[in-house]
Amino acid sequence: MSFRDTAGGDAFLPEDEAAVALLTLEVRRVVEGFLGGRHAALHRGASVEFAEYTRYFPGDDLRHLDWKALARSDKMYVKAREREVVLNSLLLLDASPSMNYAGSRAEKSKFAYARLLLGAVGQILLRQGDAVGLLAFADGPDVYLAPRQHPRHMAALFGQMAAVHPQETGHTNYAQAFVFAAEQLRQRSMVVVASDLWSMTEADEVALASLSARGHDVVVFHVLSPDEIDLPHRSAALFRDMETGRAVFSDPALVREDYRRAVQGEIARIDGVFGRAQIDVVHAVSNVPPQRVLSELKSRRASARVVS
Amino acid sequence: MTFEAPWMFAALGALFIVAWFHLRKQKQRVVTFPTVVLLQQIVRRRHAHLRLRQVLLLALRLLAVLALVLAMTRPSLTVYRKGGVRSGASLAQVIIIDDSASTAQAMPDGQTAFREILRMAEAELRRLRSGDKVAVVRMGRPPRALQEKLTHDVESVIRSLTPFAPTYRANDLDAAMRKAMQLLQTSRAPQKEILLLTDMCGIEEPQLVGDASHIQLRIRQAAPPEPPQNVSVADLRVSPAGTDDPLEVWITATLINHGSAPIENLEVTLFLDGRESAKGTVDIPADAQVQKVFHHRFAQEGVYRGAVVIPRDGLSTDNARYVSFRVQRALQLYVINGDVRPDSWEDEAFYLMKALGTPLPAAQPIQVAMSDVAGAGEVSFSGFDAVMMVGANRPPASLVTRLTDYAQAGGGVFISPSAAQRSFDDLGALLPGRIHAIRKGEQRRRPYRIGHIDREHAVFRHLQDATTGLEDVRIVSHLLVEPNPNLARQVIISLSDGVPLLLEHSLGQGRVMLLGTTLNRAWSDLPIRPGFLLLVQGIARSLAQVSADDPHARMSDAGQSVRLEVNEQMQRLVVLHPDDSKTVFTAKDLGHRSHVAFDKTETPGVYRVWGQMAGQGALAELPGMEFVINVARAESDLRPSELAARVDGDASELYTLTAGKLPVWPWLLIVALLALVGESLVAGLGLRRSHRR
Repeated sequence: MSFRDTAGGDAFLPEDEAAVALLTLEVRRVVEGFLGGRHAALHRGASVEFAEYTRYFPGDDLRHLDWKALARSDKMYVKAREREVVLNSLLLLDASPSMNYAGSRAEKSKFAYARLLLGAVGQILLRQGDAVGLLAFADGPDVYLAPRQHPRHMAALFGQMAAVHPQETGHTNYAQAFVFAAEQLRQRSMVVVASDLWSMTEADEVALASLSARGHDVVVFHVLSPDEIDLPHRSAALFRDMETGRAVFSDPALVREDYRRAVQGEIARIDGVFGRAQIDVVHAVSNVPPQRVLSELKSRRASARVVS
Repeated sequence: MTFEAPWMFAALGALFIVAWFHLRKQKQRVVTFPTVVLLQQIVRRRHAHLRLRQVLLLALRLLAVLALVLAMTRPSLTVYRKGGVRSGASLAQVIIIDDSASTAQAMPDGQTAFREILRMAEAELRRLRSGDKVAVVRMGRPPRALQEKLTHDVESVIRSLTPFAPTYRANDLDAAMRKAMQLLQTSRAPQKEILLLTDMCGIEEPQLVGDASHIQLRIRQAAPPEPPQNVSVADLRVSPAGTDDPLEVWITATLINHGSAPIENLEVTLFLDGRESAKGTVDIPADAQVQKVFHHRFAQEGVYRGAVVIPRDGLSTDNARYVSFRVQRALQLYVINGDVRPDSWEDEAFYLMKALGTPLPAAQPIQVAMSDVAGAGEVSFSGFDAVMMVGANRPPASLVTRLTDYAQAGGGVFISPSAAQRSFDDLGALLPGRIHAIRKGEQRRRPYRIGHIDREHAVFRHLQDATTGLEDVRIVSHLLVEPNPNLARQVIISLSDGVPLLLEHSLGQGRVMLLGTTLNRAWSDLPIRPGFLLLVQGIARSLAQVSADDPHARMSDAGQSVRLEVNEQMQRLVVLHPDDSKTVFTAKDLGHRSHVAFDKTETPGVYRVWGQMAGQGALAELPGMEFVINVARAESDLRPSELAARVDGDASELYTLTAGKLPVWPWLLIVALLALVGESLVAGLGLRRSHRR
């Protein structure tokens, strides 16, 4: 797969409009489901300049409630603040072969699920007035869409997402993608990665940590199929790796327990490594509704703010 | 162990199906998976355990199928238990009496083991109740029932035992058991029993054949506590002494000491034609054998009967052995050198004389007279057993006529061509057909090869390995005989393309052989091949009509049937037994048969045969048909078989054993079931562990 830079916008011509529409619809459902709950936004602007009053909605931060207005009029208003700068966000979508796996208990492949998550995050950020870009990667950066703020940019974003497909073969080169992202993001930005993180090397982990170290707000959706977690296969078979092609004969009944332990160990290791790098990791199992994943992200970020 | 349905063994093929299915199942399913790296690490760590499980699964599956198939063959074991218990119901009993040669062994009280067997049989018979039925079978080969069917008349059965003495025959337990089973199967008695009375010498485990589920087998042993000292004359051979005198022979007796003590100065006596001829002594270590060789020169040729006898010991039936043999004068051959050459390597007679002059072990010596064609004109061939004319190069007509007359009178003539000869018409009737041409190979690099040899022909029967190396002979030229209807029957050796090389045809009462190539190296390398010597001597002996029969081949064991070859002209055949009794076969017995079976071979010794041909007034002795009967060698070993060790003794120093059938297949079904349960446990072990979680 050759790298396509669609930063100019003209280069993108969605070949499958139905796919785009479907993705848009799915994302909207996720976002509306998410916003219809207690959660309002993934992040708030950092400015202290008062802009206007807005009606309070459940889920809004009570710190911004105008207590005086409440005392005066017995109505709840929230003081909205105007931003000084627009926040850049870059969505990193893993399109490696292993993301093509769905398993027996999930409707979507890991890739489709990751795309949905990133689409929802992108829409929310655009609604908040942030600039959102896209970088799809596999054995290197594949598709890049530079962050833009305009509401019409959402169509281009979804078009690009719908046009990306996981690779058939090859290794995932995380480091190249992260370095590329770092080069593109000149100011402090939000970086949202959706990947299964399999076959991630130490160099890859260092590259991602360096994004965080540069001041970027890094969030990782660790996308897993439920079958990857507990190996539910019943009979012995020849298991062939989706990326390396290596095969091993195994009877899942005999290795299942060890396998589960190994997967849990890997998850714990990822939590440890990325936690030390101030990176939020949300484990997203592909048969869980995306709204719950976004809610978990929201609550985790809210608690992190309280702590800080 | 016996199998009631042995054909079910064919189902063992299912083992291969199970193994194939097991191995195929492992490799059939392929699953693409993202985390194979993790799986690989686990599998590598638990490789030994996983492999063991697979092997265990396969072994249990195979065991289940194997046990199931074996169960379907319905196997059962013959088991023995001490003593025999009989109820009040009536009994059908067959008593097998061992009357083989070994039962002549001496008991401590001076009686024979056979006498003890008869005493036991009588005691068993007197113990029978009214309503019981009984019959007696003698076990010596061939087994014979003394009663045609089971009888209530016990007294007549006891009387039928009275005249018997130990025989010289070997035992045949299997056949005796079959006969006993046949007798019992005609009875509806609720209890059936086979009682075997034996000295246990050479007795293997008896097999109850057919439906033996309700038949009890009891074995009682009649033998001295320790086997008596016994030496047997186990073999007796006669062979030419290997000197120039064909009337000198070696007579070799093999003596075996079956006892545990050495024997010293054992006297060995040689009898020839009934008269004591020589005597000597030998020492024989314990459980060993020695050979005693006698040298003897006979005054004249003829058929002789010999015996080697040792003093009477613990078993008297094997103290003598007999042999019949023919002593022949040297074979007289006349060689005519038809093409005398100054150089011996070109002279065909040179090669022939070398081959004929080589003495062969255990073969009748050959004496050869030779002359050229001119010299042969003054010789009478009637005194020679065969005449061989080599390098036949336009022989005089008078010589051809004399050779023809010689052959027609019953003589044997051999002819080989000369390389210088161009026409063969002069040989006339001596040839099997007209010589069409001399076929010459295109070049020596592509010679003709021998393709077929009639190995059953008398030429090759005389000497072992007589065809060795003949296939390697390279022939560059040979005679082409014009085809005729009889040619195919006359061919002894032919080339790879079917062209005859050595032919034989009848001429009057005699025979003529023609070799299609020269006997020197002009047309072939036959004279320098290993088979040449034996081929030439075989041709000479065949033409001289020397009997190719091994006199030792006409030896049999007592009780064995002997085949006597007869022809249509035979009107009467008389066999004279060693005890001077006779068996006569009349024309009615012999009519249109190629052979008759003689089975009255009870007595060891030489059986002489006389025959009367059609048109002849008197009987003439037929030395070629006489035969020798001896005691079977196995009967001389008086040590009880291993079966005796499995029998418990009782107070009377006799042994009682009861046999029954124990079905094995239910146990095999249990094994199959256990294997299946085990397979399920092993296969489900991992699943249950994962479900628990």
